[in-house]
Amino acid sequence: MNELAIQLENVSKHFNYFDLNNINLTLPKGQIMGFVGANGAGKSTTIRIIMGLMQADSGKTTVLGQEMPKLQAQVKHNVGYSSEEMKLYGGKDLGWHMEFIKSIYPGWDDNYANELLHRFDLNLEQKIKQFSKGQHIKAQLLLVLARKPKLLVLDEPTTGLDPMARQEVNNELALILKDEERTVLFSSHNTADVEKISDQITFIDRGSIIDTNDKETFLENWRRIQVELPSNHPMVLMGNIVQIEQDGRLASVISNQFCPSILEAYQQQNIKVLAVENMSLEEIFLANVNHRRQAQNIGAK
Amino acid sequence: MNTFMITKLIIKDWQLYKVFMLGYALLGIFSAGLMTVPSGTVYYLGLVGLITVLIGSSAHVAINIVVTEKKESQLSFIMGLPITPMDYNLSKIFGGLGIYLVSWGTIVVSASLIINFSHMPNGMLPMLILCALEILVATSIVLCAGVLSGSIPVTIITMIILNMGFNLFLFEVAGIEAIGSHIESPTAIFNSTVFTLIGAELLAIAIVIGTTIFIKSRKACFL
Repeated sequence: MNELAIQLENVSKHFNYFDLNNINLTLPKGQIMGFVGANGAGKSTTIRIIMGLMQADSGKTTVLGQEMPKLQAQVKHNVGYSSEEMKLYGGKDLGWHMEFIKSIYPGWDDNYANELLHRFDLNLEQKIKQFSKGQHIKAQLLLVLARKPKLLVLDEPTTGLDPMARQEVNNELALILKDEERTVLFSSHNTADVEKISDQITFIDRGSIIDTNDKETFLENWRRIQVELPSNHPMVLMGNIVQIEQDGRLASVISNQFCPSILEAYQQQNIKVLAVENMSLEEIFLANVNHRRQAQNIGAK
Repeated sequence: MNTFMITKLIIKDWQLYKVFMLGYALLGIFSAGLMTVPSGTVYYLGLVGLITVLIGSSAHVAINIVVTEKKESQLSFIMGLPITPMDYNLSKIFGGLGIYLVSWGTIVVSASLIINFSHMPNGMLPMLILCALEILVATSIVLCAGVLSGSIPVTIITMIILNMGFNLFLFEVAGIEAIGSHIESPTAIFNSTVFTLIGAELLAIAIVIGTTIFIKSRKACFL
């Protein structure tokens, strides 16, 4: 039995001004993966390929054990997809949309739909064109969640939401965590959202996956070390150090594989360790992206 | 082919546009009614109104059902449903044409009955049917242009060219002896020329739809 909800093997897609390069991505069933990248990094393109909406030039995409895009109609019976760009029919109300989706998905849960309606504070009879952006996104999520899909694919679900609406959406996604059978892939450039609810995190930049791991490993491995140097000589990158910011004798060093031996090595070099700090996911993401870009630039030269 | 989902999508489009189509049907019936008024000016007003409503509703269907859905990102909502691009395109072609046929059919049948039961010569009936079918052919082409291009400008340019072609068609058909000479006659003359033209128009619709389906069948993805 295939226990992977999503598997991308060497998937590439070429555009005139952008390339998705050799994407390898696996998401086990029952996990929540945050797919993080800057605007234009390739998140939406990857998700479109996963959903079978876009054909990759090469590589293999499997979703819930089925090949995509060949078996997209069967797969989409069990996948709930929502994207930031998605729009409902403005001239119709939410009730009409719910009836439409209910008539397609036999797994539609009326009780859950009503619960979400109440929790999201949405009005059945209100026309979609009268909805705010937050209400529109919450309506989309309701339509996706109430059909009880095995896999949820959410492309930037919280982008453009005010803090209140974002919290409500995040809380709902967190509740989904309780259902261990449900798998979620959601993309975002908001690392705070990702940090709150993800089990797995994948960073994408300039069309390439630059790092993927579970959240705890990311938070455990990455550390910022504040040091005082014996002289003003510039520090040299070594081992698991990916970034150095130096101001005179004071320096801030970032390690992506932190271990006590780094501190011992510094002490041997008469470098005084002032502090070892945990990093937020946003800091990890930025350091990761900068490190890869610098490596790419050096490689290009 | 997923007939269940194709039917769902067609019903969805019908629910979205039925009010407009019924409105067009009423306007068409009203225009046909004007043609019975014994006044040259009102007659032409009715005739122009009839043609305008048939063409206008055709434009509404082609632009809104096919192109606007893509432009306003509702296609993203539909793409997530358990369908293939082919299911979607079939729903747009047959659904769009079917929805248009509701107003087209109502208007053509009403206009035929009005001609039949009024003082107007029944000889107009073959011409009415040929012209209405020409508009149906044009609607199929515009609809398929929308499905193939997904572009409003392409759809509108196609529409403009076909509208100009309609005037040409009108004059050419009226100029055919076997048709034009019977327009004023008290009885409708459905001769072989009329049937040949009707057959050619229906064949044109089938070719346009068949070609569009063939082209679209080669695409595995929506985007």
